[in-house]
Amino acid sequence: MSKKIAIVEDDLDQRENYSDALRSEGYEVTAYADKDEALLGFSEDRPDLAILDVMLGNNHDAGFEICSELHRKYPTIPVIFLTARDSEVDRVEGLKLEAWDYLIKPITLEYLTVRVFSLFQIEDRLTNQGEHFPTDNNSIFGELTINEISMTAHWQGKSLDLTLTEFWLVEALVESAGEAFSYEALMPVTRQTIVEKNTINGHIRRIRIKFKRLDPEFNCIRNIFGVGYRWDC
Amino acid sequence: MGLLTVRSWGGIRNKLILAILLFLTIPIMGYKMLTEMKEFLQRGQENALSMASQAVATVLHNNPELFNPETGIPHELSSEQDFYVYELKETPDIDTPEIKKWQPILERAVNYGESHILQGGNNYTKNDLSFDHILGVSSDKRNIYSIFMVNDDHHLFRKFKGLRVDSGDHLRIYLQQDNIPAQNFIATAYSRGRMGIYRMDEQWDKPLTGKHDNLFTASMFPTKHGYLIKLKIPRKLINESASLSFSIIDVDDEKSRDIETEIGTFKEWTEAYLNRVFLPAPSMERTINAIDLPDARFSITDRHRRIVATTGQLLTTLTRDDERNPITATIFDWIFGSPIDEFDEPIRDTREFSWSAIEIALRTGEEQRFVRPSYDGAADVITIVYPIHGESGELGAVIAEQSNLRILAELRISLENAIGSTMLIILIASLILISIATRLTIRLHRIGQETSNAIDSSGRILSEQIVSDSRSLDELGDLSRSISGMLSRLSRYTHYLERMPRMLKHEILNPLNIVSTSLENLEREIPETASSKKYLLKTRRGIGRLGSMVQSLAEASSLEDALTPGSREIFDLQELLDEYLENYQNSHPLQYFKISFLNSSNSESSPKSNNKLLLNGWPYAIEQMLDNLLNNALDYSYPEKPIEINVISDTHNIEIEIKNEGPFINAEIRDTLFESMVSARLESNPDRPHLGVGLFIVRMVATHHDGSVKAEDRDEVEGSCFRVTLPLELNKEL
Repeated sequence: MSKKIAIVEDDLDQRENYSDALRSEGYEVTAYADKDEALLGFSEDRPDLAILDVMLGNNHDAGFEICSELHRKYPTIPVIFLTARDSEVDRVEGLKLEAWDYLIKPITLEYLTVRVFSLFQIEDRLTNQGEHFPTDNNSIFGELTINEISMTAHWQGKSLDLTLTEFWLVEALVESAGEAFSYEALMPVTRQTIVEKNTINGHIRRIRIKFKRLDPEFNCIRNIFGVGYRWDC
Repeated sequence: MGLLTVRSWGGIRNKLILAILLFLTIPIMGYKMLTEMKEFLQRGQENALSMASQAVATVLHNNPELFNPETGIPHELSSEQDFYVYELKETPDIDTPEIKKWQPILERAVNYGESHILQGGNNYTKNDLSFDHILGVSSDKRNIYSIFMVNDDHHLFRKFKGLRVDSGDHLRIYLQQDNIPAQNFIATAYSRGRMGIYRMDEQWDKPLTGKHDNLFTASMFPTKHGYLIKLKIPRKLINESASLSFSIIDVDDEKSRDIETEIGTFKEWTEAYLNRVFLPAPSMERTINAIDLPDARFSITDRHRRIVATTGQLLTTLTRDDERNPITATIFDWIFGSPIDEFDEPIRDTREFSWSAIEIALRTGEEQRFVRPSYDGAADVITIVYPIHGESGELGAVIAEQSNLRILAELRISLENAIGSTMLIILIASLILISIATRLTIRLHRIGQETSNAIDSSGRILSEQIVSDSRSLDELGDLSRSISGMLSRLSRYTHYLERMPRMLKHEILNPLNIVSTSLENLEREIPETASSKKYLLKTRRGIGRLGSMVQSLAEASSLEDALTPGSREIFDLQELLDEYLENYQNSHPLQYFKISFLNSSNSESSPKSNNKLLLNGWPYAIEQMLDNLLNNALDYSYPEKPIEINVISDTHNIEIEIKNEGPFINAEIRDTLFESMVSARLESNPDRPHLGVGLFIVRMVATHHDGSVKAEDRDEVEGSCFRVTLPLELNKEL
């Protein structure tokens, strides 16, 4: 049975493009143009994944509202925000709502489908095996444990709540630990179309915050001033 | 500094003060006008005086009998030898040394001294012998009186023993009447009081008789400096052809009793030099006494230029203090001295001055007028000489004299009052104008100050409101309000520019997303040919470039978003700089960077310092700031020129100086260099779009770290210098 993906996007062209691309990947796609329509649709039919634009029409926070409504009804549904709003406040808001990823337009459909695929994989594993995930795919780097398959990371045995992009960045840094990763090298890792230094800085900052929440002493990601970042543990 | 000096001299207030100085020409013009007025008034006075003298002359016309002297008038007259007989109001007493009754005419006494020595006088000094002499006629006209005030250091009376009459100091009298030979008399005294009068022989040896002559009465009184002789002469002795002369004989040696010195009222022993006596003509005086012109003196001369009558006085007394302004009067008196309020000139002097004018008037029969300075120089004396016509030529002349003191005083008062009041008005006006100007200057200065303070050195608008004069109703209020309006418009504009990249990004991202996603779907649809691949690649590259442009536009705002106070941390800037600069050098191997660290707190200068420079902020923001500064320096550097990086720190601040050698900063954008979307680049690298965000980020980062940034041209070489100053975290323990 193919996965059901709900897309909420007020712009017709983008909505159709997403739908077409995902449908051609074999997903069942339902697209909504506004909040009310979307909520009505969700109450009738539970999607497996929701891709939400934040701003719908004149409602600037419609996407966030849909997300919290959706999570109230179906707490485990993965949500991807796909928006032009890249401000820190919005990102924080998105993270608070336990979105799985927060993507900034423009996106590459190829990357989108990769993400969607990855998310479904993770979800499958989580729903099938619960918290007990297989350790055979684990890679252990000191106190950090990374599972490439479930795309999860654990620091000192505690689960890190990373978005997909953040996971990929941590994975890349850790795999070449001790070596400086330049900004230029980190950019393609994010699998996003347009990446600037600040985008990387933002991701790293949020990653650090997530590590520090588990371990206030965390200091493994180091700035290499004038170059980029380095995993230093 | 120089500009400031020029400005302070050319300020509004000083210009106004210069303009006010023009006011000072008003009193000067007033003075000029008054001078002209003086001329005018004086001419008026002259005319009035001329008319008066003409009137007098008219009265005297064809009245030759008025010139008939009551006493003898000799043929020729010389000023020096004439005796003028002045009228005495009271009859003098011959038997007392009292001279009070002579007082009114005493000043007209003539002094005789060295020039009149007739004999002796070896080694003469003034104390040996000199005397003042004057003649007066009593009001009853019966006797002529004379006094001799003799200075003699050694007064001797006549010896009691011996027959010699000339054995003491004595008076000689020469009297000539009609055609009778001259008679010689001496007056001598044994003691104080009445003198004996003797008629003497021609050689003055012996008295003709031993008896006293009663023709004259005389008395002698010793005084402090010598003695006084009073003499009474019967009026009848003096007639038209009579001449009367005197001399004083000084005897000093008590034993020999020889004549030491003789001083006479004449100079030589010649008949022609004997003194003539002239008595005033009373009928004439009575005639002209009626003339009552204040401060004027009228004299009548006969055809021999002898004054036959005078009336009036040149004495001018002014009491006008009540008309003077006490304040200006005090100032004027202090500067120019007190005004002359009294003026007089004795008649004797007058004749000397008018002598030639009288001569011309008598000869030509025409009026003469002239103005001469007075004897004491205090005023001018206007003199009119008007001839008196008779049937056979001119009978004489009327001489009218009047001082211009009254005009001078009038002018002085006018000048004082005019200058005083104009000065007062000018003073008040100047004070008002200067205070207005001062107030304007202060207000303008305040507005100027506030306006220049409203925008800081890096072009940031600190205040949108000018408080000074914002409520004033005048033009400065309008100025203040329009500056406020301008500032707020400018502020809105810069704010708009700062927000624009974010808005633009937001607006562009959606359509960009449409294009990008549509392209991907399209790729899947169309068959893959060589040309379709090529065009798709080109399209994708175009989209990518568009995207990165939008991204870099928004770089500043996304960075600013990240700089939340909560994410601040304390880090070692020294370490950051060491690492950053090393890495930057490594990534730009062809560029030479000259790096120096200077810590002024321990004066250590080395490429690397071990001191910690603690900064409270965002390390990655500092990194981006450095990126932008160095990229900027690189972009504008001439090839193969070093870039200097100086890090100067003390305990409170750190200064990062980045100097390159390249073109100077474009003057047009110098002020807005650190504004959003301002770029000096003319040509742009398509892969690295320059949207004028770099230096905006620098300023933003510096400001977020409570620091500042400044750009200036280098002095020593062509190039620019960017200087970032950041405050350090003081607590080094952290």
